[in-house]
Amino acid sequence: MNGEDRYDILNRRIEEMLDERRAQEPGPQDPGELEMLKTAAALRGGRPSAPGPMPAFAEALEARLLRERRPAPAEAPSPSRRKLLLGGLTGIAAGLLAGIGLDRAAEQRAPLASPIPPAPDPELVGNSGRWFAICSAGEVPAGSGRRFRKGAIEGFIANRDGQWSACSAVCTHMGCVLTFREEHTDLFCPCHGGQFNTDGSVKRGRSTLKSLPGLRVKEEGGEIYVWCMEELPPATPG
Amino acid sequence: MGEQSLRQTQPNGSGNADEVLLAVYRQNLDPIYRYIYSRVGNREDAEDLSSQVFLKAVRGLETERDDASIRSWLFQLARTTVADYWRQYYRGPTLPLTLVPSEAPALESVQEESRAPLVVEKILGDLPQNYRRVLQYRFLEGLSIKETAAEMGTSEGNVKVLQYRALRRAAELGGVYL
Repeated sequence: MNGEDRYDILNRRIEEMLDERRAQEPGPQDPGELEMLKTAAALRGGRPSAPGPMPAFAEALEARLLRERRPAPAEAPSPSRRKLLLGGLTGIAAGLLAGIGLDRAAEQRAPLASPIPPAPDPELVGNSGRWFAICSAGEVPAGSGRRFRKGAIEGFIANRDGQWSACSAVCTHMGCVLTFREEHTDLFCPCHGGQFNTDGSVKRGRSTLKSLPGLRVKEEGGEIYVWCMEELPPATPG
Repeated sequence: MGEQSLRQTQPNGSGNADEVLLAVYRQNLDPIYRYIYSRVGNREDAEDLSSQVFLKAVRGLETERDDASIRSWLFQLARTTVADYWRQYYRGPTLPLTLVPSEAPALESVQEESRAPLVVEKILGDLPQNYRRVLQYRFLEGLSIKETAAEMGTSEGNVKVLQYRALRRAAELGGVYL
């Protein structure tokens, strides 16, 4: 990249920072630029009016910490079903944690195509994530959708008359990966037959089945992007 | 709280683990968050990293420690979490020395919590006036490019250039404090 591009990228990062947002673009490529960004962060972060934690954040994290202490579910999936799960805990955890983006929905700056369905446990976990390009908008006709796997997320995007939504494609029952059925316009679980609508809500299933956590989605330059966590480290065998 | 351990401060004296965790969290979230915010400069990252620190803390908390040493341990966790954040963000081919964890000189004796305003003062202190002004307007006061241009009686394009040069100079002079 020439000097002009890095200059623009740095100026954009400054605007994001002043808007209280994390970086959306790749980081600095040379030490000088790194020091400039650290200096910017220290100036902005050290200003007299620098805020403390927001009450909503503090409460959500408190609830999250208490849940962290509860024992994990005792029953593990049987070996015959395990092959339908994603590499053990990584995939399940990724799918279930896809609710991360939810509590930010209210602050979402980019236009969100449709309301994200409420997740059972909106959680704040500090894993790194970024926007992943899924496909071009034209590839998914209105009324349809597409499955994708990006970063640590197995997900699904839906086009409802030009309005885009995205959700996890990991069944909230036992963590099996869902199949998109074009002919039924739903997400189907091969393990126990649960069915979800393309917006993540439960279409048919046991009464305790919870809707699929939503993901942040945006359309930019004719491309569809979803915010996904980066690949998680492999789970320890257990 | 001084030398008291958390078990002694619980009203029912039972040392219930959840209550202990909540006490640690409620006593320390604000200073930890503010410290992290002072190093990353935006709310989203400060929230993410604060969450990481306390999630790590849940797993390693030794409640027999007194409040002061628990806080000290949390700040150590926060320091390494912030260092990891910059290390992961940096995309250069070789790791610059500044990303190797070490205490910044000259301000070591100052408590983490009150260090940030001093860092700002040090960074701005030696700059020429127009560089200092643009950084004050943009970062301390949060003025837009347009507003800053109005304050400084110049064009928006000039403000962007000035901001870039001021930041570069400030980084050269004040980087040691980070």
